[in-house]
Amino acid sequence: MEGIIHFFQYVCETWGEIARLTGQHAFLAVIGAVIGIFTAVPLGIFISRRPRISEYVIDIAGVLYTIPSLAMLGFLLPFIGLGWIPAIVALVIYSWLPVLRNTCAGLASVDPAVKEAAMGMGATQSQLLFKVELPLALPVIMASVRTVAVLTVGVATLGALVGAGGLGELIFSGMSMMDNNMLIAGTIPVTVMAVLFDQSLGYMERRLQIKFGS
Amino acid sequence: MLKSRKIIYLLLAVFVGSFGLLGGCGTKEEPKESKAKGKVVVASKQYAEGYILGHMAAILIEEKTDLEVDKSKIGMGATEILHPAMVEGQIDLYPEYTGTSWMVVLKQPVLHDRDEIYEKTKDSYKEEFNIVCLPPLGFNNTFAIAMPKEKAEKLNIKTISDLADHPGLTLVGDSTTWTRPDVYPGMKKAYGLDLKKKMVDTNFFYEALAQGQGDVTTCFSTDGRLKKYGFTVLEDDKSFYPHYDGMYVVRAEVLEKYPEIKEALKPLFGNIDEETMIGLNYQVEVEKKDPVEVAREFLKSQKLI
Repeated sequence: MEGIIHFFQYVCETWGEIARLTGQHAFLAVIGAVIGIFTAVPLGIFISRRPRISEYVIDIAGVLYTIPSLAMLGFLLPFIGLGWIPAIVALVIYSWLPVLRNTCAGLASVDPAVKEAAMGMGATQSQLLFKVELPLALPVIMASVRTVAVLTVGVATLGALVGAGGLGELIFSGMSMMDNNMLIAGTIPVTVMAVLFDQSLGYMERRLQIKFGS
Repeated sequence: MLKSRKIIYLLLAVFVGSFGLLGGCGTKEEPKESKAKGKVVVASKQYAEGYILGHMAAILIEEKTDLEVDKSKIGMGATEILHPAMVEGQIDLYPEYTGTSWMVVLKQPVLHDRDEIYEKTKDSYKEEFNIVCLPPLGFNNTFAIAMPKEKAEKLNIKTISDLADHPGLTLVGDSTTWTRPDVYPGMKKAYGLDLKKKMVDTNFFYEALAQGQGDVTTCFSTDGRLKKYGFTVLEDDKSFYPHYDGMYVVRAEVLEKYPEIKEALKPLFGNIDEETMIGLNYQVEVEKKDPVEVAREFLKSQKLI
């Protein structure tokens, strides 16, 4: 009980700081995920039409994905230095693999008979893509988008290590000082943010489905 | 019948076992005997400065005395490993820091007087562990505040006190800098500082400063990278940071037996200042030279070998 009181005291004292770091964190995660998703979905569509290169592209994204995050920031250091830019670049790189893979998988899972039927009805390439293939692949693509949203909120914690700020500052300080108040004050907003992002994307997905009428 | 046989077996086992134990004791005696022939085990910590100072001692002892030096323990590990190993008699000599001995080994509260901390450490080491602290080498590898030289000159900042006249400057630090009482919170109190905060990983301090992400950073005062980046260390004019004077510690038993060790190392006492140590560390950390060569070259340049 006393612990909880201490925790609330801590939160009250550092409220401004927590809010500022939460803002920085949301900025990193949102920008990183948005850039990542909006580069990976078109690239996924592009390579899904070219099976010969798609494998290589996904392999490259896979290799990038496996680089430990701190090592990644170390690699980026000589090229783009420190601050929020390398943090966002790292987030973008991490979001590629899930989105690329699911975009390809989603498009591949569309029944060829459906595509043929659409083409038989005189659909153009872009109509085929936007009216038939993407709506049908949407659940699979959105699944990866939601994964990426949660992932970037988590990885954005590392922003604190390259001077990009974010809730990682509280989490790492809490960890190294064994200060649980600080640690929890940093972790709760991260968790809430991840759930919030995931839920709002779920809502968006349902709206899109209604719009596409599937 | 069966029972008596069991007892016989048991007795046999005890008999054989005790032989084994005696044998074990016997083999344990052996290395001590080989030391009598004149072998000194030199150890050190696991980073550039440790290697350099370890090899310096090894080379001097080899060249100046008839003793044989076992160098296999150079780079063995931190104080937490070296000190117990020395108490056990597994190693004979290694470079240590007064502050580390005083606060980590002896678990004493911070002292701010440079001589006092050495004298007290020396007395306690002799009394508690029968270890001799040889006189300090002359450099203090402590926590410090560094700043790019040009900026320091432009703002006319020489000491940490001067920093207090420039609020608004940004301090680059890691997850512990703003919470550990012996880093920023303590400095803030001692010097009345008001610095902005920029948090990065410990490994990126210098890079962050070089890129202008901040104005000052915490560092170790003999880090070779200070030379690489052209950073200057601000004087700790209120003696806030504890002193970590480099010195060799050696087992008293060994030193009594071979007093020539102290004679061999004597020219180093008080002769390695911070700038010298930074230069030596720079050769190993930045230029990636072999610490053995760096140690040898230094001794040659000082006409010691």
